[in-house]
Amino acid sequence: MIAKNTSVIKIYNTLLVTVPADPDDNTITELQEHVLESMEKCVAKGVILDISMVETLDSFFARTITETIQMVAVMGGDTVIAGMRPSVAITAIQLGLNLGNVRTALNVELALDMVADFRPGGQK
Amino acid sequence: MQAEKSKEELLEELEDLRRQVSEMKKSATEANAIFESLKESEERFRGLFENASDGIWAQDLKGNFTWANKITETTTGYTLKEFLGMNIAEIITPESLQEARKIKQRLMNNELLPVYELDVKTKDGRVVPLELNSHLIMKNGEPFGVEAILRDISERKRIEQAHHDSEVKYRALMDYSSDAIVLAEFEGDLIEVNRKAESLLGYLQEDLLNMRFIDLHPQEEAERIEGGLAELYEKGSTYLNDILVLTKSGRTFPAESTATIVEYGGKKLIQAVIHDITKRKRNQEIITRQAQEIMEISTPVVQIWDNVLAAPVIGTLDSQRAEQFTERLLNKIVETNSPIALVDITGVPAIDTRTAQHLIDTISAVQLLGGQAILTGVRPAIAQTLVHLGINLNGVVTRPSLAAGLQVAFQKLGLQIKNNNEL
Repeated sequence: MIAKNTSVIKIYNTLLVTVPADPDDNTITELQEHVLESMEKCVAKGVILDISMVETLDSFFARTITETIQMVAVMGGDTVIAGMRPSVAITAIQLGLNLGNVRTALNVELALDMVADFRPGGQK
Repeated sequence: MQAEKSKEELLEELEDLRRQVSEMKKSATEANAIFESLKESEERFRGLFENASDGIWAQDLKGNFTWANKITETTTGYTLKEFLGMNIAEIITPESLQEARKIKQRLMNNELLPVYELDVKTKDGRVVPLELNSHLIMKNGEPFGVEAILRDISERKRIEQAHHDSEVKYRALMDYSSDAIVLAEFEGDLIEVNRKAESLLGYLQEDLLNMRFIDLHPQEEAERIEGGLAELYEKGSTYLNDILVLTKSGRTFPAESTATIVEYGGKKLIQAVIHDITKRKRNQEIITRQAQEIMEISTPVVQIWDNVLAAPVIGTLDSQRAEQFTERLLNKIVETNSPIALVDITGVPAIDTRTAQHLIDTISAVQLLGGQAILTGVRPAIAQTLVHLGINLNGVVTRPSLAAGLQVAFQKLGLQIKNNNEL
C-alpha cells in the first residue's frame, strides 16, 4: 500500500522524499514504508528527506525519522535531511530531541550535492 | 367704773384674754415654722450657689463685684476676698471690656441677651475664655446691678482649635497632594474632590460633585471598574494598575488607582487615590525599547562572504539573549542560503557552563538546519575555562580567531586566497 500523502520521486539514483506539512503519526509511518519500498524497487544510493514544509516537530516524528535513516543505511543508502525551518530546529534543541549524526543540508539543491554519485558518470 | 364691773363681765374679759393669748401662741409657732423653712431653703440655695460647677458673680452698675461663688476663685485665680474688692475692668482684657460695656448697655435697654464670650486675665496672667449669661438685677423697680453665670470654655476652645488644625492639615494634605483624591458615597456618587483631581480630570469641583465614580473612566474600563468595586466591597480595598482615566476633554490617560473604604461618622465612604502613570509608562516603554535595541546591537549577524555568515557575540549570553541570537542566526542562514556560520565569542568577557550550553545548543541547531557553525575567538582564557569546566565541544570546529575561522570556511567552500604580489 503506497501512501497518498507522501511523494517519493526518483532522480537518477537518488530518492527525493517530500514530507507534508503537519504530518500525523500515520502519515509518518506510511512515509517510512513508502521510502523503504522505493529503496528496494529502485536500488537508490541516496535519500533526501525534504522537511521544509514541516512546521512542528514532536518526539514520534524525530524517532521515526532517525529509525528510517538507520533502515535506509542498512539497505545501503545515504540520507540527508534538507530544509529544516529555524523554528523547528530551535524546538528540537529546546526539547532535547536528538537526530543523531544525521547529515543535513540547507535545501534540496545542496543536499543533492552531498549525495555521492547521484549524477550519471559519478562526477560531482 | 372698773371696780364696779360685774363678775360676769370680768369672767367674760378673762375668757377673751385667754383666747387672745392662745391665738398669739399659735401664730408664734407658725412664724417659727416659716422662719425654719426659709432658713432651710436659703441653705439649700446657698449650697447650690456655692457648689455650682459654673461661676456666678454679681456686680453693681459701676462694675464693682458685689458677690461671687466659690468656683470664681478657681476660674480667676483670685480669692473671693480679693475678688470682691475688684472692678470688672481689672480682670478682663481691653477688647473684652469694650464688649462688656456694649452688653451692659443692651441689658439696661431691657434686651434679652444670648450667651456671649469674654476673655478674663487670671491672677497669674493667663487669659481664660469665658462663656457668660447675664441679666439685670432690679431693686425697687430700678436697675441695681448685673448678675452673670459664667463657664470656663478653654478646654472647649482647645478642642475646637485642635479640630480646626486637623481640618486645615487634612485640607492641606488633600489640596497639595500630587495625586487626585476623590471621596464617594458607597453607591458611587462623588462627594469630595481635591484640587489635583480638578486639574488632572479637567473638571471644576462643582462638575465633579455631580458625577459618579464610574464617570471618571472610559466605557472600555467599565468591566474592570466593576471588578474593582466588587473587590472593594469584599475586602475593603482595591488596587487597579494601568487603568484608563477619562478627562473632560475626552482624552484618556493611564493611572493607578487605590481605593479604600473609610468610615466618617458611622457612614461608609469610598476614598480613591488616582495617580497619573503616563510618564512612568513612557519611561518603561523607553527602557523596554532600549533593552531590545541593546540586545539586537549586541548580536548582529552579517554575511561576510558568499555562503559565509559572521555572528559576533558581545557581552554575556543569558537564556533570553541566547534564544534571540539563535533565532536571528538561523533565520539569516535560511534567508541568505549560507551554510557556514562563524560564531565569534571574542567579545564574551567570561564563559560559564550555562553560556557554553547556550552556544552548543545554537551550534546544534545550525547543524540541524544543514549548516555548519565554527566557533571562533576562543581566547586562551576561554580555552582554559572550557577545559576546567569539562565542557564537551566534540563535533564543533573551534578556532582562536575570526580570521582562522574564515580560512576554515574557505577551505570547506574550496576557495583559495591568492597574493598577487607573489606572481
